[in-house]
Amino acid sequence: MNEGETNRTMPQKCPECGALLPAGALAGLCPACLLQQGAAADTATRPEPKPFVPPTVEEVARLFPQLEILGFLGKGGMGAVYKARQPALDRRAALKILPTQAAPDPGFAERFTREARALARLSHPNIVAVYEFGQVSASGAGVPPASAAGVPPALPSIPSQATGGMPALPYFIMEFVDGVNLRQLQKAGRLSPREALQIVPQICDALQYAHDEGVVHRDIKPENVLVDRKGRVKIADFGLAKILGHDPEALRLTGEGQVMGTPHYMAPEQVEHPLTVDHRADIFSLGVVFYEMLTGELPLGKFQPPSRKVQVDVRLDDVVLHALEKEPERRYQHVSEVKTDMQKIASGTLPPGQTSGQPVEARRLKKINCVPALSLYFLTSTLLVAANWREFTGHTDYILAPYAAAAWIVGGVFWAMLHYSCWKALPEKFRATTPGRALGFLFIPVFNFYWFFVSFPKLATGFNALKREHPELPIRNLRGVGIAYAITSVLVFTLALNHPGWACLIFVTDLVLTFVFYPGIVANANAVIEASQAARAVAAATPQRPALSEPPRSGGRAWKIAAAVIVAVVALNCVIAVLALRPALSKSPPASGASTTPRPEKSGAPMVQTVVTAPEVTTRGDIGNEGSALNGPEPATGHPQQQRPPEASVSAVANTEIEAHSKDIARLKLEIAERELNEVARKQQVGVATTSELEKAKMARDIAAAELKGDAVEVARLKLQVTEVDFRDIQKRVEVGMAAQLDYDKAKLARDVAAAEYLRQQQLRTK
Amino acid sequence: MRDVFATTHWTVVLAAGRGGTPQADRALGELCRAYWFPLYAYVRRQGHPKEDAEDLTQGFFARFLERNYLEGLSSEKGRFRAFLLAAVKHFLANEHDRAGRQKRGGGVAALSLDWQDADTRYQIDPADQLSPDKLYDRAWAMTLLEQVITRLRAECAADGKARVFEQLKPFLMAGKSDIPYAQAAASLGLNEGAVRVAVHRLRKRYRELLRQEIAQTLSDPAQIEEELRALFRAFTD
Repeated sequence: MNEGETNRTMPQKCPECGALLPAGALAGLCPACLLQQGAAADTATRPEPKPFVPPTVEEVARLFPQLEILGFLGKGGMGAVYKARQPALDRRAALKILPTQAAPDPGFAERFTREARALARLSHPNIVAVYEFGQVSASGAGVPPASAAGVPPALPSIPSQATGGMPALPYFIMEFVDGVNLRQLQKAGRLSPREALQIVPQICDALQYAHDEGVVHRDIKPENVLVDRKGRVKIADFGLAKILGHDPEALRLTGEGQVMGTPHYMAPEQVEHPLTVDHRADIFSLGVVFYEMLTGELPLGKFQPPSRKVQVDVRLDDVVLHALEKEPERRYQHVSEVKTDMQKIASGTLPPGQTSGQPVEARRLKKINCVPALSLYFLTSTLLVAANWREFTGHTDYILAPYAAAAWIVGGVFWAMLHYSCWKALPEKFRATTPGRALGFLFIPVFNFYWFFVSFPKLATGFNALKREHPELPIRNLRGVGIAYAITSVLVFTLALNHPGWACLIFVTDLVLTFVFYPGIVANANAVIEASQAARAVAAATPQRPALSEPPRSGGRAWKIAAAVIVAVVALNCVIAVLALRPALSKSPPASGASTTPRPEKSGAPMVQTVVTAPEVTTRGDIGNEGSALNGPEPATGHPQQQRPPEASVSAVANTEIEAHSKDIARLKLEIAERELNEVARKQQVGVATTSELEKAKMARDIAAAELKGDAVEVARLKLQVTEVDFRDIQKRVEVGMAAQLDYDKAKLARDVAAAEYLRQQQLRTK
Repeated sequence: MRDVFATTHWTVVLAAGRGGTPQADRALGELCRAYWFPLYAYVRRQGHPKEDAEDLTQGFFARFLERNYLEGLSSEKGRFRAFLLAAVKHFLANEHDRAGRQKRGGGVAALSLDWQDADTRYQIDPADQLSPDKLYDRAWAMTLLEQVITRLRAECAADGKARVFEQLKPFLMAGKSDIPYAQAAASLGLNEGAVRVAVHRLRKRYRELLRQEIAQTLSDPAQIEEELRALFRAFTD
């Protein structure tokens, strides 16, 4: 190093960056490299292997005679891990040896003990358990006795001397996890968003438990999240960052400069205010890990929300972004909240009662073209008609039985309506439907065809013939059967469109009726006919005997049993129908506004309740006016129902009070809507909220304003707008397979209802 | 860090504003004393011969120290470096109109600048192809680094670690992991672990000093990174 020497003839080059070195005062230093070094953050953790050289397996075996060392598993920033076995307990374990302390640190042993004890207390299925911990003096000094209780012997930490004395080796004996870590899974490309959604809640559980016990991990990263062969998630290296305290290069620094963890996963406060770090830093790290699992990238700088990078539910964006808030106060305050939100999302997007695998299935079914299904249906129908043509053309008797005819007509009309709805709805519904639905949509029409155009006429014909030949037989069942079929067909066809499951159930009971009792009825009828023929023959042979006028007892009882069964089945069908529609029927109309409109201002999935109200309004739109029969009493108009009070003044006072009160409420609502709008506008400017969210927030605000004014038409119009926006959104998402059929239906329904309401309000105004 | 910032030179100057205070004068004086060379280099690079550059530089500082420039150029006020550059450009543009080339003196205490040294430094800088702006930035960076290194050296010397500093100085640069710790350890008579610690400490201190120096010329701590980047860019054309 020649200071002050100037070399004019040959400027030197910097060995690192190749730039020309200035001569002069900077004495052989490269300014560019110096600047780089200056810009380097104190917290940079080098990705290359640390200079910590782990002991060999033999050395470790020597140091830990109580263990059987099976091999070396790996090393990282937090130490080296060995696979081991505890012969005394006959179980596998992992031995982790922490980096040696190069400089003496008197507080280390005490800190280590304290932290290790806290870790050993953690007992959770998703946290790697600590069996033992302690410090061994590496080669030279005798090995301290193993302490099963995990209390390390009171070793003063052996300072390293200038000649390289042997420091104490802190170690942990932990649960052995037979699996891989998240980083390995990501690299192998085996992490899909669905798996990510199953892993994160387990991490939440582990973290929440640890936080409740007062332990903060501080170093959550994919390398620390293990997944075993059974798919269980286990978090490792809890609190090790705190024990080691500093730069994993095993350098002890006094005073400030404390840093821990991998920079990308660290919360901002870990870098800027290390002393104020609390459990919320783990939440930030979880957010980073989550984002990386979903998108494969780190959320650096101005990053895109996950839904814009991969096909995941848009509402997951909120969860991830909320976890990634820079200020701890703005983040989730508890890890369990993350899990709760994820569960809400999972239960909201999916049709109730289905597993989280459903959206994938729905997407798969998206490929089903409705054309083959319809073709199959019509082909089957044609075949059935052809097969039974003789029945149709040969027997004209069935027209004679009035009840049969009536049942047939009623059933036939409903059957036609069902097919019309299916015809209209099938293209939409097959876009993303479930196998059960597909089965229902096909099964019911096909079977019904056979039912009503073949079986029932046959039955009716048979009974007619019987009646004709044996007028003395009390053929009572025809009426019952006819009514039963009429009711059944109404129920089946009304429910079939939206509750194919329930409709199938009703249908099955009818199948029972038919296949079990029909042959029985016919057999009985035949037996009766034979018996009376025989009786007639006998009577013809012996004219003195009086003719048998009463039916055989057995025959009568058979009819009674059959009648009872039919009644029972009908009753059962009605019960099933009631069960299917119960939530809708019990929903009493509220005092104001459209009763069946799902509230449009709420972002996110409408409540499950509204799903069940769907059929009543669908049928109103598609089939006829029976919807109104299923509705409760007419929804009231804008103001609450007024009784005729005895004293008009009291009610007037009460009413003005109510009016004033509701005005206050309306004003408050407007205020809230304004604040909400500002929040969303701010978010939208930084790219965290979408423009359609901003639109919706604006409309919500406008709605609140219109409600305050009392302008019902305006309110209805704005609400309609909101539902249009939602519907548009859902349409887009269904096209890319990101929303289930149910959401589509709900959104469409909401839109239709809002449109109807708007129309109604307009008509009210013009009256 | 915020408290430190309240008392950096530039914030003091800005805070004083038009009125001026003795502290502001002193602060400004400090800044100018530190960073006059880049300015001179810029003026030279503009094509003025040695004597003219000297005159101009001196004249500019005389004007500048009278705080005549502090009112305008508000967009540059966050950073002293940029502000100074804008001010000298403004000055040169005005000077161009004036015919005379009188020596300006008097008024506020003139800076006694070492013209000879400046000339030498200007000559030896291997940067012939650079634009004046870039040359200015580079010279600024070098001046800055020189100050930091000088302070660092002084600190180490005060601790009795002058030799250590000299040996470990090369490790200050952004190095890869293959730093020859062993060699340094041998020549210093320390073990490797101690060398690592020492290097780390040195680097850390260097960074702190660097940031402090930069901070003196800024009004907002958030701009340190940006300033560093800007200075780095001067070397990476």
